[in-house]
Amino acid sequence: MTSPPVATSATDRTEVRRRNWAGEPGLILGEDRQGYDELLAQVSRALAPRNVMEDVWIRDVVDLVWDIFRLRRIKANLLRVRARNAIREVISPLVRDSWDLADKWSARDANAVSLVEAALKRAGMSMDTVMAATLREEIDHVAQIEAMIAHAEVRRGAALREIERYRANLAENLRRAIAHVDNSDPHAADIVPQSPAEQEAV
Amino acid sequence: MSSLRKLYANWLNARFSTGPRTAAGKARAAQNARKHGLRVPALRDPAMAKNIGALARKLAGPNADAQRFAAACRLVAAQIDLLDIREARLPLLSRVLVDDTALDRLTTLDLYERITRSRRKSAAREFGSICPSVAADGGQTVGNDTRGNEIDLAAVLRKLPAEKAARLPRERRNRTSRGAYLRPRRGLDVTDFGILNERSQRGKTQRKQRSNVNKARRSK
Repeated sequence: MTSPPVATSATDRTEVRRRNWAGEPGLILGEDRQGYDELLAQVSRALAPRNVMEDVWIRDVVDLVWDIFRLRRIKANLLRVRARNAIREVISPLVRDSWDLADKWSARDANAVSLVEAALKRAGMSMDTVMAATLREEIDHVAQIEAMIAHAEVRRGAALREIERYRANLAENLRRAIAHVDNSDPHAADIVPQSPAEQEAV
Repeated sequence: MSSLRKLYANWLNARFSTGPRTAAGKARAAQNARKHGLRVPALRDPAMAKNIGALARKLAGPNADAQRFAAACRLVAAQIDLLDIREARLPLLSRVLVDDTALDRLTTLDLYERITRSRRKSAAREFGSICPSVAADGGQTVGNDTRGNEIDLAAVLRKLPAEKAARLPRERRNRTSRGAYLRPRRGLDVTDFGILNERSQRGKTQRKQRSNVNKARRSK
């Protein structure tokens, strides 16, 4: 049984957010902060944020890209970790003491690895067979991770579209603001359009 | 069948088991069903209202009109919700390989994230579409509602749905379709938040449409 994530008090949370609008980079154990910063720098260079809103969208894009990489890594690691059970299942009719051998294989014991490979070869199988058995066992979890990757990819595209839309809106608002200022100019009435004859004289 | 004496003893014992009586005990018991609090929008948390207001003020600018400020509040609240959800994902992501339930909970958080992102997108579009005021008469200023650096969010937002509320029948002005959940509280009248009224109206319309469809199906 796992404990739910502990929520900090409301004021603390807002204080944290006050320091950084887009939040701290969400990194887990073993992830490289430098890699994240490089990715952020690259995306920022490409999109050149102009204000806090664009900063937020760009951080979103970077977080989502990072998330996609992370989820792909998790999927690969999940299959690798759970391959031990599949090895047991596949080699049990081929060798004696398959449990012990599978444990040693997962610990990358050189002797056990060669024994397993030889046993698989004799039976006309390979590591692909083992990975297929692993995937069959873990298909639900893999599907969940794939769904999360797909969602992150959709969100990444949506965040990029939002930047585009925000910029278009900003341009439109600026245009309207300039028009408003032009219309409310008190000296505009003093400027009398010149006749063609006057223009020629000038 | 229990004897009269036993019934009396049960009744006496029950008198000592009627739940918390002090305000602190009731407040604690009210949180019994709380798991992570990520489903509750930050905008509905009175404790966060002032801080959201301060952040929104920074985002909207000091001379923003009430409409722009309200949109900024919604945007800030949604952003805080999103950051909370993303923060809650991190310990679960670390445990995926060793804990089978972590993936299920991540899937749930993914759903929350989708909902919050949708909310933030709407707020951001609204915020982006509202032109910042360029003249003194550009909109209703909220400068008088500030107390030092603190911003009374409730006071500002209370002004927003005034026109809308005037159009509603009297008995509906102070309540929403969510009933007790949005009941006005002392100190901060959450039903006055424009977003909540809009949302509750929209939900009510959707429910009405759904019930009409169901009725039509049943009649077939």
